[in-house]
This record gives sequence, structure tokens and C-alpha cells, in this order.
Amino acid sequence: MKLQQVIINTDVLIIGGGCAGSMAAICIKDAAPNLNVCIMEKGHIKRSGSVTMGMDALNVAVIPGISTPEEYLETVKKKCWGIMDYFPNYTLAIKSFELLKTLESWGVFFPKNEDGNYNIMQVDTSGKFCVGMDEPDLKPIMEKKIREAKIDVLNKTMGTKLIVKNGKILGAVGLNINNGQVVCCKAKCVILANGSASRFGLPNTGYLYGTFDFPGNAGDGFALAYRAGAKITGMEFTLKYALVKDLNIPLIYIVLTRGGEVVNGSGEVIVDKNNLSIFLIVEALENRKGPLFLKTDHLSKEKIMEIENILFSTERPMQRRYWELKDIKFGRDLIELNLTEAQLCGGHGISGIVINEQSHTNIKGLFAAGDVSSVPMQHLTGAFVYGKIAGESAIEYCNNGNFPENHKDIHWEFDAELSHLGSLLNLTKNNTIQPTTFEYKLRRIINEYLLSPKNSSSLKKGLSLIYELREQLPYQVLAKNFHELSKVLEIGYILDCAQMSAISSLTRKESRWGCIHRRSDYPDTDDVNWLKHIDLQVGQTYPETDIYLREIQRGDGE
Amino acid sequence: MSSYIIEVSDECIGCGICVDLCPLNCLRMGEDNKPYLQYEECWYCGCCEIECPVSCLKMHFPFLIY
Repeated sequence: MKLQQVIINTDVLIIGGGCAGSMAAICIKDAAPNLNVCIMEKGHIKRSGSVTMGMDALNVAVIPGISTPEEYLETVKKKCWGIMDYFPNYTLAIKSFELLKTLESWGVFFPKNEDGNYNIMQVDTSGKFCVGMDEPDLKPIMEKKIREAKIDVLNKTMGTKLIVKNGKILGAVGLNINNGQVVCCKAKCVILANGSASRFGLPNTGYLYGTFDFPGNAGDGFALAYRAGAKITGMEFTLKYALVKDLNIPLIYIVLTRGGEVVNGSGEVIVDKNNLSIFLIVEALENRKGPLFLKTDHLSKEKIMEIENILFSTERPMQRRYWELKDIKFGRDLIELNLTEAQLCGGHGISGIVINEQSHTNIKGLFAAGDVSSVPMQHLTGAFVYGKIAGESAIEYCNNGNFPENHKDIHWEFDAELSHLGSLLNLTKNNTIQPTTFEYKLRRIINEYLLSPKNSSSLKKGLSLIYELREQLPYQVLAKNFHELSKVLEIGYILDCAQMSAISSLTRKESRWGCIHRRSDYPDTDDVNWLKHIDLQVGQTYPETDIYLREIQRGDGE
Repeated sequence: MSSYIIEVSDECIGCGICVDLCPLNCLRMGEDNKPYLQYEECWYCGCCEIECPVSCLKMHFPFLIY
């Protein structure tokens, strides 16, 4: 079993073929057909990323006449407790409707009512920004466009290293997780779009892949960017959602916007469509006011049918079989809710690579889009909008940049990465621990030491255990084949994310965002000192970390 | 209730689409030219079942989930 090597050239390399990466590729080929575009995708482009099986709503859509960008900004600012920059989210808001129309022109289905209006739902206590979308084939629609545009796609290929010299991107290395081909891709610029750190905390079931967000994402992009010198922010925002217990599949918005209620064990209503807030549900569960249940027995048959039609057709259609297995019926039975595992995400939360409203990172020629980048609570809309923006920035960079040959630097970096990957796959070593066992232990430690209630002793203890595991990884874990090698690499990414999260949580000496960052040793929210971003960057020698506090960017007239 | 995650019937034509499209790359083709779950890393998304051109594959939920 040997790693094979291949060197390729492209103008724009996109790492991650989910919604953000696919959108970037399509837009580049559309606006600049002369540019070569290559996508590295860990899975298969047709069914990859967080919306593998489609999506039932666009969570951010500022529709003229219904809501305004200013209202949206106010809502997000409130949800982030002020930790957000004005321009990235403003840009998202003003481009969201145009994005919806683009998707619609591609054949993505947005149901309309009898008056011809979109199905607009209120899922925040203020403002209507969520538009119903009934599209199980979202990814296949994009994959068809990618095929028609003759964009090069390297399926089953994960990014393992960004090649950066003197603050400028030169390309990246990828590993084919099936055949062991190591690809050195020289590129004028790179768009990182490989998702969040979904495999971070351990789910209550103990099942490593039972996460609420797509478990193929292990913080790959956060780690690659961090190692290359990009700034990463908001890693203390250890986000848990409230979803169906054990199954971890989303349905709360769908049910509550159609009249369902969240009740406690005594039948008291905690949340309904009048105070719809996931935050309230999460806080109640964290504060031991559970168990909580989703109640639907008061809804009409028509409403139940409407709910079931949505739940069983898009996003996670297989759940129908789960309810049959459990003998649970909507309209009859209570459905227990529970907290999900913690994740780090720039789409649901605020964690990710620091970008501006042009998708630029602090590395020349490196752009980021989607869940890997920090545009707080951008959701799927952000992946599309910033995918397009990253594509536009990449075109501009390719057309205006200066790209001298850097063969020596690239080949040196490629050889070093080949040697690194080869050492992890070396079967002559005496390693005995399965990657799954090691990952379980790491994620158990994340649960035990890195999540709320946080305190200095616990976070420091967690950090020291993470450093220990980091030392042990190459000497303990056995990768018998390329698939297992990919798992060892992913453990390395989770370790980076855990380390960054512990450092950020230690730095933020206050409590903020309820149970997302509750410091028992600093119980109060301190806007005077901590209304700031915490950015991390790799120090002199990896994995040393430098910490920077950054002021909040305010809008005109704020 | 099933103790296994992937159930394949005799109608399987061995096309390998399910193996290729699995978002977590956890399926493989067996020596009998039928898919099986090589790695217990299934997200129960059901992509394998939905994409099967002859509807011969059934996905069950992992034991730890139900």
C-alpha cells in the first residue's frame, strides 16, 4: 500500500464541493470561461456537503417589501450578542434576494401561495427572513451545471495542506481517500469551502457520526487555514442546538411555524410560534428544566400532513422510517427534544476563518466561503452568496495578479507533505489504537473540559490533555489503509479545533451567549472589555497560537 | 429493527452508484459484486437508497441511534 503522487495545474482551486464551493465554481466559469477551475471534494460532488439530501428553507432571505437589511442586521446582532462585523452580514442581506432568484432560475423550487407569494416564515422573535424551499435535488441541480461547464472535479479527495509562501498562496495538497493518490495542485488562488467542525463534541448517543450537521466535516478547513497562517475567530462559540433526541435531525422550525409547541413534562408551553427561539429551548435544557417535548396533537390533520410532507421529502427524508421504528406518530405522540453535541460553525454560529465582505482572508490569494468562514449565522444563504463573492474575488485576483513560477517552494512543500502522510500510514510501526477509538476519547475530552459551564481550571486541564493526545496521535493510532489515513488526518483537524476552542474560551474572561460560553469563574457579560472578536493565528512554530483581540466593525451611522 | 445498516436484495445489479455517491465513503463493493457497509460511519442520510437505480437497497438506522 503506497501513496501515489501527481502534480496538476489550475487557475482556481476550490477545496470543498458543497453549496459554497459549487456556487463559486459555477460563477467563475460563467463569468470567466477562460479560467481553469478545479474542485477537490472529499465525497462525491453530486451528494456532498451539509445539504446532501436537499433543504427545506433558505434561512436568510431579505425580500423587498417584507423585510429590510437593517432589520436583518439588528436580528443577527442580537443573536450574536454584538459579536459580528457589519459589512459581511450587510452584504449577505442585500444579496440574498438576488441569490434566491438565481436559484429559482436554475429550477430550485420555492413554493408559492395562492397569491403568488413565497412561503415566508418567522423563525426569530423579530423579522421574517426564512423562505420555504422544497428542493431534494439541490446538489444534483448544481452538479449538472458543474458537469455542463466542464469543471474539473477530483472526487474522494480531501485537502491536507495549503501551500503558502511569504503570505501568498501557491496551491494545495490533496489526498484521494480511496486510491491513495496525493495530488499537488498548483494554483493561482484557492477558495476554501470545506465546511464546519461538525465532528467536535460527542453526541449523547456516543455515536461518532450521529451529529446534527454533516459529520464528513471535521474542521478540515479551520485547521488547514490555521496551519497556513490565516486568522480564525469565534472558536469559543461552542454551539449546541436543540433537536430530536438521539436522532439529531432538524424539524423544530418546520413544526413550530405550523402551530406546534414545545412543552415541558408538566405540559407547560415553553416555546410556540409567538416566541419562537431555539435559544430559549437550549437554555431550558441546559438549565435542567427538561425533558422537553414537541407537541402536535392539537393540530389539524391538514397541518400534520403538511408537516409530514416536508419532513419526509427533503433534507432528511429517511426520518419517516425512524418514526415508524419508534412507533411515534405526528399529531398523536410527544417527541422528545434534546441538546445536540457542540459544534463550531460559521454558518450556524460565529466560528471560522476571518473574511471580509469580498471573501478575502489575510493570506493573499486565499478566499473562504460557507460554513468554514465567519459570517455569523449566514446559514445556507451565506454559503451561496459568499461562494459567488469568492468566485468574483478569485477572477479579479487571477486577472490582476503576478504569478511567478515557484517550482522549488511548491515541490519542497509537496515532498514534506508526502513524507508526513507516508509516516502516518507506515504499517511497520507498532501502533495499535483504532482511529475511531482515539477520536472517541478526544471528543469525550472536549465534552468534559471544553464546554459550558467553563472555567479556567477545566479549560487548562482540557488543553493539556489535547496537547498529550497531539503527541500520542502519530505513535498510537494505526491507519491500515487510505480511508483510515483520512480519519487520522481528521483527528488532527479536530485536535486543532479543540486547541483553538480551549484557548479562545480561556481568553474570553466573561460569560456570553448563554450556555454557549458560560464561565462559572466570570459569570457576568462584560461589554466594556469583551465586546470584541478573539482571533487566533498560528505562532512561530505550529501548534503555538497567537491571540489577537479585534474591535467590532460598525456600520455607517452606528 | 435491524442489526445492520445496509440491506441489499437480490435485484442489485452491482452498478456501484451507492458506493460512489455515499457522502461519507463508508460503502464498498463485496466479492459478490454487491455493496456492503465497510465502515460504521453512516449518517443515515439515505443517499444510497434514494440513488439506487433499481431500488434494491434499504437503509436502517444505526443501533446507537434508536
